[in-house]
Amino acid sequence: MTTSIRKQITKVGTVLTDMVMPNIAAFIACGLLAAVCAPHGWWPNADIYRVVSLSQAYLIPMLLAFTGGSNVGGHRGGVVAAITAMGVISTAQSAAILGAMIAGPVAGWAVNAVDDWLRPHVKQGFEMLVNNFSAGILGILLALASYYGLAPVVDAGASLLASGVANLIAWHLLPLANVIIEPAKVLFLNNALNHGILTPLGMQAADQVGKSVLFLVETNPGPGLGILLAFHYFGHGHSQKSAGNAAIIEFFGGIHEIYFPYVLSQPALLLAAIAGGVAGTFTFSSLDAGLTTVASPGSIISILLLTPHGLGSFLAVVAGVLAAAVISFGVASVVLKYSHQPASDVEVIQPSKHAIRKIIITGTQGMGTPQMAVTLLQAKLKNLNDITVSVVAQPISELTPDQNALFITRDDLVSVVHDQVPGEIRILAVTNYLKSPVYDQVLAMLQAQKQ
Amino acid sequence: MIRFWGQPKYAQAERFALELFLREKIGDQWTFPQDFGRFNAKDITTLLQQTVAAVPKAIQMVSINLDQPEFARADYLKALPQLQAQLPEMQLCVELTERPNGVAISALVAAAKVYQAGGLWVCIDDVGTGDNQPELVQALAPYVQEYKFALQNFHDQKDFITLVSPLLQFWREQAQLAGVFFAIEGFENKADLKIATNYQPDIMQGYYFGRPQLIDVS
Repeated sequence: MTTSIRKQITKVGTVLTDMVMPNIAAFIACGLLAAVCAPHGWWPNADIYRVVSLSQAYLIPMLLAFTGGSNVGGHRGGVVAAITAMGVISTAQSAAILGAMIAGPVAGWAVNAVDDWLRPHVKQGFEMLVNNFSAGILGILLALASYYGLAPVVDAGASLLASGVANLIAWHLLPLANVIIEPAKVLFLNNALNHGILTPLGMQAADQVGKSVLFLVETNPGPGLGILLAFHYFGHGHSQKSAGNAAIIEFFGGIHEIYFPYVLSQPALLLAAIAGGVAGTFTFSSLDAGLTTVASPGSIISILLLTPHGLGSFLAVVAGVLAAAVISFGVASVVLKYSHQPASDVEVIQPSKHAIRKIIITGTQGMGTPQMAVTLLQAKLKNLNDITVSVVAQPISELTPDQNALFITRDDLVSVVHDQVPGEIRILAVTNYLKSPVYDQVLAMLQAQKQ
Repeated sequence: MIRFWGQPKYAQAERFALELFLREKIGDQWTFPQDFGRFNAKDITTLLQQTVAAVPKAIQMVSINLDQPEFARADYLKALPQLQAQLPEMQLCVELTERPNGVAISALVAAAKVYQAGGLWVCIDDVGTGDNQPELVQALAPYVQEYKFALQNFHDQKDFITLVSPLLQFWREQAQLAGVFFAIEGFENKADLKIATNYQPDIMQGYYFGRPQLIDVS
């Protein structure tokens, strides 16, 4: 695979990760509430479960779309993305989340493109009017495009994957089903596969023999555990720091969505998920493991609670989970080891085709000079007419990727910024926040961009 | 022998600058020089250059105090911008003290203009005290980066809080209007911090954060 293709894949992965990561709390809320109130939960309650089902149908796709849109096109990009997502949500049968994840960044990009086209024609004083109407009209057009174009496509893709899984099961090649299931999972098609194929077939088998291995195929927490542990031991930067806690949430809480962003950030890790999934399902099948009903969420606790009585059954289930975790850990460790780019190899400034709309002066938590530098740079920008760019100070720990941002930081913090904001970013280094020729360089960049 | 003693200045939790106080060693004692006028600009800038070389890397700015006569004196107006040009990675700042010396406002404004053109920051020390009253402050505003309010000037007065709060409010607003940084010095305890942080100083300084210490340039 050439470097440019790998970069493009990583870029797509980063866009998806940046949509999911800020919204993990919503997944945790839905997962935990489902564990308690779902029909197969600890205390089933149909009324409260409506909160979960409506959140899964509307809240999560909207949050993802808004985040994806605002990452690319600012707050207005997020608003247009949310309108666009409604087009997918209202019609997509089972793939609304994936549809919303596509609609979000596309809407953000469209807002930027329309702004670039309109801005030179807008007279002073009419900016707010034009900004709001253009965003509203664009939202309508994109929602219609999503309704009639995007939703049928993602639904067809999900149906295709589901029929692929159904065929593999029919051909008695169950372990290979994970080759389809694991990538589909990280694209949030897990519910489509689980509820569309695995659960109905599993219920039939459980009615006949009292258990089914199909309940373990998608809910096995082993592949996710292995990947998160690999990040914990061999990862870098922010993802390494958070992976240990994420592993606990995934394995004991059963919130699998928490490991999807880690895989999306480096799509080669799909190999680890697939290998772990295949190994786990192969072990389950070989040892005749199964659950009495669907485990929701897929936590090790609920899986063990739904394991049929008998030491052999427990050992078979545990063996499958462990095999998946060990294999995915091994593959993920190799991927992480070979994919890490040392900070010293990173150029200080990366070229970008996206316009600079925001300058973020950043430092560690508690540093006050980045805020002072904002004042100094704003004073310089006052002398430039017709250049509207926001200048803000933000601690490194709060940075998120933004294609339209230019980051300015102290020279010894450049690698820390790269760890926090992976992928291609524009970054300039200063030795002194209060006095730097870099600020004049920024003015020159903004003037060049205007021409 | 003269040396600078440096007191830290903070921006939020970051120790980013030092205010340098000139002290003269007489016998075994470091003393406050009675007459700053007897030092020439070369003495000061040479020592300042040595001092900058000796401060920690995290320090991004050092400031020195000049009384009105020195602030407007030709040798300082020449030497300090020259030194700033030689120190591209350190921001130099001149703090104009409040001591009344009768120098005309126009001369001080002209001097501030020269310092600004030379890349130095100008700070008006102890605003609202001595000669640094609103008339002079407003005249200097276009060439100034920092207004500094001295909390310690009010510590020995009754009704400290009721006296100091409106003044802090006034000077905070003045700094905001002029687009300059607002500094508060004289933090001595947590109570000061509690009162003064309501006025969102960009820069904080005082014994509570750190006392002046000799900067060894030997």
